[in-house]
Amino acid sequence: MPINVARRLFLQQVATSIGQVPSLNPLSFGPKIMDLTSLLSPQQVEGMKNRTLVVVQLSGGNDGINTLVPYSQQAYYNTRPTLALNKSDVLQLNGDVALHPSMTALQSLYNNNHVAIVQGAGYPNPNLSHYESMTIWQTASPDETTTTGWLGRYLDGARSVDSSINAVNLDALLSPAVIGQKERAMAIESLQTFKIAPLTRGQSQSTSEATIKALDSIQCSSCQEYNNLVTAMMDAGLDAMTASDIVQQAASNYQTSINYPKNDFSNRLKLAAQVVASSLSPMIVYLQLGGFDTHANQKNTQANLLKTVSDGVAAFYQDMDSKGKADDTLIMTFSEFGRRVNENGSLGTDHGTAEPMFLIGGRVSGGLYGDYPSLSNLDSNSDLIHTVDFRQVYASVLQDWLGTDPSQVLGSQFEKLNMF
Amino acid sequence: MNRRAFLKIAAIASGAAIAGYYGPELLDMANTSVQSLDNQLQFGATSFVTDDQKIPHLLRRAGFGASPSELAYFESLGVTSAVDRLLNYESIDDSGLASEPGITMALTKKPPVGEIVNLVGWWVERMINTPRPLEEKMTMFWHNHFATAIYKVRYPYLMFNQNQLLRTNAMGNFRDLLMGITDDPAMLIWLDGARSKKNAPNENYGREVMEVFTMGVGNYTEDDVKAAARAFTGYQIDKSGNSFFNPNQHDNGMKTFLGQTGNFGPEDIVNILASHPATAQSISRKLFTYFAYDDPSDDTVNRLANVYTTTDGNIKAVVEAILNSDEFWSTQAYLALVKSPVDYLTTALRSLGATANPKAIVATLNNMGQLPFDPPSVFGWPDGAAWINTSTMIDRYNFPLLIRNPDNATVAFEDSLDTATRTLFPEGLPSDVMQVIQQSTDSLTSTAEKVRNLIRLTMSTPYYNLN
Repeated sequence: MPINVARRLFLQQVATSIGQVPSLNPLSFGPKIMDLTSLLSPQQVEGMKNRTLVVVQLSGGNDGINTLVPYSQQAYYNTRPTLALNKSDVLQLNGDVALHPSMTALQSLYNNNHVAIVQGAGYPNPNLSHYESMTIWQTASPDETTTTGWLGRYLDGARSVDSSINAVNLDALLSPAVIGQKERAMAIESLQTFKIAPLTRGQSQSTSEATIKALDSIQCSSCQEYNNLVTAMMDAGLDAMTASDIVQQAASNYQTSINYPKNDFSNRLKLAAQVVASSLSPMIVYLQLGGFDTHANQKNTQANLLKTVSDGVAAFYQDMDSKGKADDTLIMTFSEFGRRVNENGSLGTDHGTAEPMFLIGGRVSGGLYGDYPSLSNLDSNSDLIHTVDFRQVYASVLQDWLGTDPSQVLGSQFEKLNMF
Repeated sequence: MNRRAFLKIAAIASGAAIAGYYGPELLDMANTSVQSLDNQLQFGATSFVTDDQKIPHLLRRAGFGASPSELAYFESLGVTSAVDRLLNYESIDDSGLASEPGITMALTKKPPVGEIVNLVGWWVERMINTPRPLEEKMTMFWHNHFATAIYKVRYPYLMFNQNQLLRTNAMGNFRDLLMGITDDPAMLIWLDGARSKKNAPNENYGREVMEVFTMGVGNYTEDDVKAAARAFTGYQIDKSGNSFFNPNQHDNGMKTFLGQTGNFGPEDIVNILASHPATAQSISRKLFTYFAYDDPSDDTVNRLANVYTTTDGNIKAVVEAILNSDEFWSTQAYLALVKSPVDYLTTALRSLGATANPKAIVATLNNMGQLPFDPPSVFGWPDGAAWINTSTMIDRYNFPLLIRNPDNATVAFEDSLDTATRTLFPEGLPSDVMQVIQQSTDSLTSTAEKVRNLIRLTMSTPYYNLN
């Protein structure tokens, strides 16, 4: 990104000329640097508060080439002797690319202009480690290590303006993406387990809660010295007791005519809909689906996974739409990387680079964004060369959906894609 | 340079200068005084846990907590013998434990469904009842290190076999363990080694063996990944679930790996990796972090890596060095970790002499994000702050209600509420915390309810949830 490089160089020169130590480099996200308190004005918050960004993390490295299929290119069939999908089976979007045959639900949303597909998202000097590359996408910081996630930093700023802003991660453990310096998302693993059980049948839930809260309130001073995580422990406990009442109440009032598919991923999307309908009204919902690391026997595995994503996301969108919230909903998918152009000898694919991202919502301007990466002009490792920096997509979402200046969250400026 | 190294150089420099002018007597005096200064500063730099904290601290880290009688026994041994007993566990009779879980001990046409409960229940029960707690603690360490998950392997039998491999080699030689894991059938499925063939090497194991199992990122290139993948080709799994090496599927060509060139096979790569200095560093660091605290100093890691190197990768020697280190016994280590879900659950059941329904155990560990045999990825489980969030805190408040027959607490409660809470936190909770528990417990009528309440509340305190 020319803009990014130029700005980065400029800032480095400034830093050097005024003799700043490296830790004060404005591009660093260290705890002392990021002041995100002016991220949003109260008016901006008011305008955005009813919106929800649902991030769907596809863990393991989804094979983008068999997701958004370059079915018109001979190179596709040459490099994928057993994995190439039939021209007659794929769901053609135009004369060049098509969706995987199991993504019919997403195709119909695409045909209604509710899906933006970013072709070839990636970043410079791609890292082929699951962990490293996932961290890069979650922190939006390929060049420097940081302990905060990009949505965590947004939360830091947004909650300093309005503490009623919430984020929810529908998982047992939090994604690093939703952990900021001060703020972090709430975690909900399931509706069934997200409530304090009363000690006995005779005792009410609130009696149990009151006792645990009483314990919480006095422990801070006496045991914090041992571990700086004690405060986090107590805060999470108190938040959980409040939030669980709210979510349980909303879930019991929740009704839908949409038939969600019967699988864990869709159960979580349904829970997302219930949480969105509650007074927590999260601006950010984060969830993941794993299993995309298809080094072997990719065909059926990926077909099932893409069907799960496509059917689940479509059901969620329709549920939101039926409640008049389609325009307030944006779903964004990503994976830590795509996969190698050439299939391997195990009927699968090894780790690769660029991948398509899907953005789905009522306000989205449907269509394709960015160029499809070349299948012949590859990098030194025989991998795709990305055509869009994924931070351009984040910048677009931060500015046009979450209403903030993306450079504060991302550390530098990225050219937006006009997807809304 | 650390303070100690600095003082040594200062001592030599000043000694030389003094010797030149004042003769040997004064030099001796100067040396003595510098040494005592050294000791003083050394002592000032580290403050140690109190005597009351020592054995509970040791048993939380090198085990899964302890029942009151076990605690008393280790207290009577004293710290040095207690560490010895934990380390040298081979001679301790553990025939009272179930050696095998109730699972199908063979490969069947289709992987058996539902046996995960028996498999997890079996291992958790070992953690709770074993007279060799460090053996299970180390098995858990290696399970997290060579993280393999049943969601892809699918056969509980193969997961059990891998678990036994980890247990047998838990305190042995790292090279042997790495070789064992390299041709372990569960691992060959998990990282696709069984599908990696001469003409079509699969990179999965070749990459993760360097990134996760040995050196860590930054020590190899993408070309090294490809070379390792070629060297590991040839493994297959037979119908009984045993692995074998098929030379016809092995790439016999020359490979350049980490700067060395040769017709390398699996053993060559394993040998190079196990003896690599970066492996000594990463294994030492990870072991220290598991037992003591996060972010050890470079000096600490270098010292342990040196033990690894000089003992040719002897795991027990490194663990022994950690458990006998000043760092381990420093206040910096005390309650510095967060109890993982497995530690949270097993410590309660072991301390209380209690049981829980295996299904409840599996559900709880799954909800808390740490179901044994099912780590989220090859990177294993996260730790520390990751264990704390709104979802897992509710699980921590609720699991105590699923505990059955907490006999040790019931007996202790006959003595006093304080004694009863000490079954779970032997050092004793502060008086203001005890007051809240007392008040709440007094409001209940039956002894069973009172005991249940005091267990729940003790397990809801940060004291219990830290490790």
